[in-house]
Amino acid sequence: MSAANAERLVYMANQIAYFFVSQPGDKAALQIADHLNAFWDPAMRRAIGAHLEAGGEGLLPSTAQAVRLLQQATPKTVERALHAAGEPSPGHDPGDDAG
Amino acid sequence: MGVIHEIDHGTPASRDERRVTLTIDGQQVSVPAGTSIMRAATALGTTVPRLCATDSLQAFGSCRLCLVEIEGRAGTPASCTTPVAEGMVVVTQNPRLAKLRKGVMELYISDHPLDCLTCAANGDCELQDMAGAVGLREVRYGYDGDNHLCDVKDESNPYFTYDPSKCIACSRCVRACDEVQGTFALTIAGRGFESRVAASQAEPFLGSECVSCGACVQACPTATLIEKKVIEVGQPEHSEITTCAYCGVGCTFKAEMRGEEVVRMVPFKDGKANRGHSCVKGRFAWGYATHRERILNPMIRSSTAEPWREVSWEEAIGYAASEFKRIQQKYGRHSVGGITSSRCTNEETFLVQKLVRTAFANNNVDTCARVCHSPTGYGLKTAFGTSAGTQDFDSVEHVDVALIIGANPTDGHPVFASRLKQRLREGAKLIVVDPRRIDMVRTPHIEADFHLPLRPGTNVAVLSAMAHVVVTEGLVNEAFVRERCDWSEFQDWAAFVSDPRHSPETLEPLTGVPAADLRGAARLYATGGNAAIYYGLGVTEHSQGSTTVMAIANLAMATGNLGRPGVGVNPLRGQNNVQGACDMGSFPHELSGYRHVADDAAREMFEAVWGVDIDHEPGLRIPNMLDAAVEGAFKGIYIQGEDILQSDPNTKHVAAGLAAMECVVVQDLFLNETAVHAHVFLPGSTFLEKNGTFTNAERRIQRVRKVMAPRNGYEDWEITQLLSNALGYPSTYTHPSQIMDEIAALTPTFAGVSFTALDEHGSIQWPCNAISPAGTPVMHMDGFARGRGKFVVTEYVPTDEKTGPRFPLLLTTGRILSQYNVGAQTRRTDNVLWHEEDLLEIHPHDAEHRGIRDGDWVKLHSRAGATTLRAQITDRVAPGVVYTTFHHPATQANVVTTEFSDWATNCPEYKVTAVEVSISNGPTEWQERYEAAAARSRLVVRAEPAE
Amino acid sequence: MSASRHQDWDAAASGEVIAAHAGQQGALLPILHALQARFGWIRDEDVPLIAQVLNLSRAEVHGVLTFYHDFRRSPPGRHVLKLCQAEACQARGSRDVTAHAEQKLGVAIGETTADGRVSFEPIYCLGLCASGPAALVDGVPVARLGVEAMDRLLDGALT
Repeated sequence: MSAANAERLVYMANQIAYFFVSQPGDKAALQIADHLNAFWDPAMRRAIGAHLEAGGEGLLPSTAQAVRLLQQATPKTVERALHAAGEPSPGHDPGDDAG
Repeated sequence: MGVIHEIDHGTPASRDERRVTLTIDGQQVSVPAGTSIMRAATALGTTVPRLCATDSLQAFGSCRLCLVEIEGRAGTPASCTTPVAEGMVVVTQNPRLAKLRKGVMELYISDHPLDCLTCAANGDCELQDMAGAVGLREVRYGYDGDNHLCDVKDESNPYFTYDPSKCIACSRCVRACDEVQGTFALTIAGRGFESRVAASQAEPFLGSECVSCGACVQACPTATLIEKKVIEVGQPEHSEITTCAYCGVGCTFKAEMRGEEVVRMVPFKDGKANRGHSCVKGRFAWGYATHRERILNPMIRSSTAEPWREVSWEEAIGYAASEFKRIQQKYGRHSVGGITSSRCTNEETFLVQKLVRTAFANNNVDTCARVCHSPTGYGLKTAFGTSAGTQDFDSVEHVDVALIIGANPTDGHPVFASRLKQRLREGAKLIVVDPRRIDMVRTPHIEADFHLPLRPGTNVAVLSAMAHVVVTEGLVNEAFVRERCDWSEFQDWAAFVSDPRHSPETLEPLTGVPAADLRGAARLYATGGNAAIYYGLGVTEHSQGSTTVMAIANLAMATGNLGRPGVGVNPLRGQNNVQGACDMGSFPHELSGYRHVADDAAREMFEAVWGVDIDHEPGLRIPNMLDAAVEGAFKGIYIQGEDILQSDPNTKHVAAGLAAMECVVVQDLFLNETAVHAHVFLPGSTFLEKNGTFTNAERRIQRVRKVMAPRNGYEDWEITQLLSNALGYPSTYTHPSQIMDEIAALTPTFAGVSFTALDEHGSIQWPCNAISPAGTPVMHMDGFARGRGKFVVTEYVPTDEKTGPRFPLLLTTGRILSQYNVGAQTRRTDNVLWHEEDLLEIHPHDAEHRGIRDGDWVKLHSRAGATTLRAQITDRVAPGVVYTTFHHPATQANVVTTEFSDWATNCPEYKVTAVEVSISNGPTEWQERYEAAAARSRLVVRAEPAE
Repeated sequence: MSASRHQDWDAAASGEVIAAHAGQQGALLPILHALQARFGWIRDEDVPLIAQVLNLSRAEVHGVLTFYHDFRRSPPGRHVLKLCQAEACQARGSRDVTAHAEQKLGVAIGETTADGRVSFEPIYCLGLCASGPAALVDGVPVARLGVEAMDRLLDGALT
């Protein structure tokens, strides 16, 4: 993966982190991980995981924590953990539009 | 079927709930109180003769034809201006009235050309009808008196003619322009015999204040204002009801035809979104369907350096399929994808995402909502549990306070703007949050109570400041919050916004909005009655787009402005079917009905019907497809009805992505900018040439009905089907209604939708299921989808797109009335008369500082790229802000926009780009190279005729 | 009021007049009167200025402006002679006076002489019915304006 691409993925992941870190409670890593699982394709998630392995330059602490969760747990596990922590999963939860 | 003629009741309907019973011509009838006698008569099937009355306009009483006699009242009052009364006894026909009416007609005809047989309105002329209805036999005045027969025609407008010699000064056109459109461009100049309709100061229509909406043409009872097409080809002989293919209002039209030729598009009075009105685009700009630049034959080429080769459909589809297979073989299953069109029908979009998920076997499908309202989907789903707006357009009639943020409805959603203006003229209040002084801020008879001209990029800060006022000044609707929302989440949020760092005073230096104005606006929103928020891409196309949507939802919940008509959160969705495209599962992470691909139950339902396994991981979004292409991992794409090279940001990056792919298949009407990089071009069909449905911003599903055979040979869905079959996934639909049946079977919110149901109801707003078999106009009436509305803390995160010494100005972008988006359709109609080029709006101070005069060529550059266009000096933008549109490919406005995007959805931050503007000599090198390359790439080698 | 009392027009001066009256209820007519009083006639250029301040369309202002004949849309002559055309003055012979003046001035009533000397206009009832024919001469009421009196006027005061 090129450096430019890594930089871009780090930037996007950190952007996501900024939002969840600002939320009350301490579930940012879970929320970030769940967001990435819901919206990033597997190749992107692997790529940022590889970047973490290679030092994780530029990743905010919560982002790094979240990427680690991606590697350690399946998306379903993360989602369940998030629900257990009392938070919805905006990406995964069906809305009213789902009927 | 013939031409559809709607009944004209003469005067508008009354909303009064009390009823009145009266007798007209010996028959009893019961109507709402406040109804005119004329309208009550039509309920009995009686048409009182009239000329100045029409039910889209308030009664005027000028023509004096509709006189009636009322028992117990002297004289002969006009039935249009006289309301019914209990027990009233009316006579509409007797010798006295007949004599009076003939007398009136004699006067009219004494000053009117007698060329009925050769007149364009022959067969559709109310003057003719009334002369017949009153039994006119002679005109005792003769025809030699002073008259207007030599008045000169005004043919300046490309779509209609104004012929004053036929005008009867009924004032319907003036009233239509005032009451329906709200532009007030027409007047009756002079008085008495000299009374003549005048546009602005008696100017030609083109160039006056007229916006060419055509309401006057529709209202005119004679041939005075008439479509040029009718003059050219004659009256239509049959019509079909269909839906406009431009913006998200989704106006219903009667397509009036002669055989397969469209004569005119006339708004349908019973259209629930438009109620009989339209704008210049929907009514007049449909000529692109027969434009000479339209491509009608498939074309292929093995490299973009070669000219195109016209081939048969079989060869083109076969080539595309074999290329996709080859690419997947070589680079993997995830190396190809598709983009669905937000302009094609629901059925067509469903088929494209189905093709990607079945034939390509991945989830790499996305749609243009990515670049416009995807933050709406994320934000509203989080807050309310539904990704769509809460109200219908009729809701505007109950609004007391309208808050418009990041939207310019007079340009982008004109018919909605006209309806909003009607309500504002009735006394509703208006708050506008926009860096520019858009028309809604001050336009004849409309003046915003507050205009908050914030610095681009500070939406969240402004909304937090407004929330601060609401909470700290005790304006929260606590009962609503306790009942409908999560109280502890509310408390967290309330504590957050109450912090002094969110006060209007503290944030003023950041936002540029005077604190007193912001406080006033917040108080008005919270206490002014029914308060509704209407927002657009000025909210979503930011790095905090999703956050802003949630901040909007927070305000609406905190003040209890949800769950009934007249309030709500209303995203003004841009395209005719962008809502539908999203509903249909065009996103890489969702199946139709907004269910995540990881949702086993949902996925299994599809797998059972489609007979294949569906990938349970999200696919690539468009910007990520382009990133992956540049990386070498994404190599093939099937793009239907979208021009990403012109409309997506950071043009150089888009070009690089496309150029890196090995098979780009473009299905479109014209050789657009994306096609410069294409290897297969499949000519598509227009909305006139297909059956299907569009879903507008109100979640309203409406029928699109075919009025002519596709000039390219296939409806768009048929082309996707051909491709799917060639790729090895069998697709055997014979009619789009079958596709909708499949959608309904697989998507619970669409369960009750079918073409039959649509024919019966006219239109259906989803959710449409067992609980709401006829659809759902207003959502969240009894509660939120997700149970309780969610307050979300919205911390302001400034965009990384910062101004500095090199790029000291902020560019924001938008649209105008006459052109639509990238202009693919509108540039191929006479609408180019109004907007031949994109202009850069710049404040006088900034211009002076740089030595720029009005009309000068200027270079607009950012760190992403540069382009050249002409400057327009105006104080509509604040100092430090510049503005342009993106309708013309020559301008390449997106060369300067950046890769920054919304954190949650990657919706591009079009609205904030740091730029500099300087005097220029001419087009930039990029523009020149691009034009040359584009021209080369459009060369076509025609197919050889068979021997 | 004779033409010499009118001021030269420019947009700023027009703007001042408009602003001075804009706050009134139903300000459009007072503004039009004030502009005519100050500058002698209403220019096309005044219309957008008025429309902008009152937040009306140009069409609406144009419609009101052209409805009233009293609002002049071209420069008046140096003198304005308004001769009553109503029935009482007709009974006192105003038709002959009108015809005579038209012939002498070389214009039809409602027009201005080519040399810009006199605008000859109709007016309807000055309330001097017992002393007709009546007229307003540069704003000043004049009565018993028979043919000879008209001659004296045209040769004398209205040069």
